Amino acid sequence: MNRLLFVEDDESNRVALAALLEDEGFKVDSTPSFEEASRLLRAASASYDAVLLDQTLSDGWGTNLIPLVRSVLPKAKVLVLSGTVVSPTTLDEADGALPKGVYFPDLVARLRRLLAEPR
Amino acid sequence: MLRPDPLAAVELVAILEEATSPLRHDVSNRLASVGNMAYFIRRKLGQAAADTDPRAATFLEQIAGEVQLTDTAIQSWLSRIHALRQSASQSSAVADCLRLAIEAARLPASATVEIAPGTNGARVAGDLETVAVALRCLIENAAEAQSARITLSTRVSQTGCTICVADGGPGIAEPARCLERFYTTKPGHLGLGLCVAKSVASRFGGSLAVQSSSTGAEVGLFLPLAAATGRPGEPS
Repeated sequence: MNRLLFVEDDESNRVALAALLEDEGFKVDSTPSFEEASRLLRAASASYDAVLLDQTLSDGWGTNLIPLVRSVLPKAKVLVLSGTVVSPTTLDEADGALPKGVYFPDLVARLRRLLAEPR
Repeated sequence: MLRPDPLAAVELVAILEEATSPLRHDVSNRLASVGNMAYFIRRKLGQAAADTDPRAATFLEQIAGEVQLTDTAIQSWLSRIHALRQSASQSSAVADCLRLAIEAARLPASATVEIAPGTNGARVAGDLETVAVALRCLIENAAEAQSARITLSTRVSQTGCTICVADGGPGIAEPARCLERFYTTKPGHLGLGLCVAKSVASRFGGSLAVQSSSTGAEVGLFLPLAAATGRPGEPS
């Protein structure tokens, strides 16, 4: 079972998407904040296969977590979910980016493809 | 003949981005929630929805479709505005930004702008025109406080440079609301100046701080030093 860390500050969206992902068989840890996500990533037990990052969090840029992900989980994939245009810097650093309103089956398909690719 | 405004195009894009900002975050989140919840319900109910009333399944599908269409339209619109950003430069000299902002500021004849001693050659994250637009917003905002004298000063730390714009006016009437989009106490104004400055700061990894008292207001625009940030150009 693939483990995901889902960082999204909008509660409604976080709950809905986490439920859908769990139904797809993923083990999902979700958090609303940059700070909590940092703590989860730094925990000795962190073993995520992928991190889904909301680009804009209430306490920081979600994309600023990417260096930490690379540092502590070098094999984990990073997929950025954004309500706006993704900067070239983010596109370089992440493994993929999708608009927030992406159709869920398209999101899952992209996630599965990413997880199947070597890093 | 009117003098051409060297910052007009960049300012217009900044205002467009500010005015559409809620679409980027708030509306996108709402749409994503509705779309995902509709998908969840459709999948859970499955045939049961169709058996209850065939229109139930159809409508759930249509909700997803409408959400997709709306989101696509918003993304397309925002992308077009984003594409209007002109500069590829990622850093600029503070002195150049100040000079351009002052030259282009639309000030009453009674207002004077002074630069406090100590401005140095620090380079900050952000292109010249965009940073100058942010500073011009602050300078014009200070002038609108009916202050005859506006003072600009800079403070450089290990990580960044704070450019302070101070006026000797009566202070900000409602400090808690001054960063609220379209909030203004001045007839004929948009109420976006401070918001634009804050978004510019945020885009380049900086911040905006507002202080106000009965003897004047001071707004500090903090931007990371050009060499101190590896992540310029973040979206705002």
